[in-house]
Amino acid sequence: MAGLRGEERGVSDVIAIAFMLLIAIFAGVLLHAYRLDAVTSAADRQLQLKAEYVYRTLELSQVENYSLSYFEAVAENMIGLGETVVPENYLVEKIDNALSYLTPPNCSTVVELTKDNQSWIQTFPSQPASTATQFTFSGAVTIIIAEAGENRVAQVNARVTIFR
Amino acid sequence: MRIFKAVVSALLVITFIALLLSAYTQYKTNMSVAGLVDASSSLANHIALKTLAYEEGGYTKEYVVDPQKIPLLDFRQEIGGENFAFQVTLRYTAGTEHVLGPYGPATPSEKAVSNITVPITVFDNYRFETGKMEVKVWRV
Repeated sequence: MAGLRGEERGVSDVIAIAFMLLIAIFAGVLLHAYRLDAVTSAADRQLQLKAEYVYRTLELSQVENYSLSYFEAVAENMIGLGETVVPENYLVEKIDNALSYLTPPNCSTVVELTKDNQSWIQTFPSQPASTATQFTFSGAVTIIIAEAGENRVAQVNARVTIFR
Repeated sequence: MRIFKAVVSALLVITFIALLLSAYTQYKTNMSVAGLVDASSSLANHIALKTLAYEEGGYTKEYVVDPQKIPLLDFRQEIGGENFAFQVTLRYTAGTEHVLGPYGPATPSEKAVSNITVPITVFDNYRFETGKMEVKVWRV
């Protein structure tokens, strides 16, 4: 009887040790996972910053051979003034060149300008997967149209999204 | 059996302490790298919005970099109580790609260096050109 109790105790001790081992392994994994995302989060913040900078660059940089910025030229094309300053085909090519120059490595950039039911969308290098992580910056482009009598203000919504 | 239990218990305690130390070292490394990455973002932002921002008639044009102001740059900055050194390179397209720099001290080979490239507008020859600014940052 006493021998049997000793055997039972031996088994329970082994089970207790096995559980402690499991707990140690589990604790090890948890401890190593703590704040593991800090570097990824910092890289994500950089991409968010870059989305804003791509937006500002397209808002402020002038189209080659013209004095209008990329966004101003697109807005002018969308509003449909009598004679646009930057021809549409030329503008598409120049925005594509700018996006190929500005898009961060291993990312896609989508530029979208909308006004009422019209939209101007350009993507570089290709249409991103719907599951990709998105970093968006948006704003509005305002242009003043000189008309007989009084000037008119027109606004186009602009959005830049970087997909990783 | 008692000796076996004592040895296993001691091993478990030693393993757990080793795990704690290893996890703490990894945590410190991660936080240090994340801090350096954030410092590079912060510095690039500060340079584009303030230090190198183009000025016209007393008005600062943010996100537009004036290469003429590069000699005014102090390549050491304190952020959050830590000292950082950095190097700046400007690239912009005006027909062909122009590269200005790198400006600042040489990057150290024995320290971690964080590198960020942000799109910017460069003021050159009375035009606003599409460009990029590369900032390399390390702790000093």
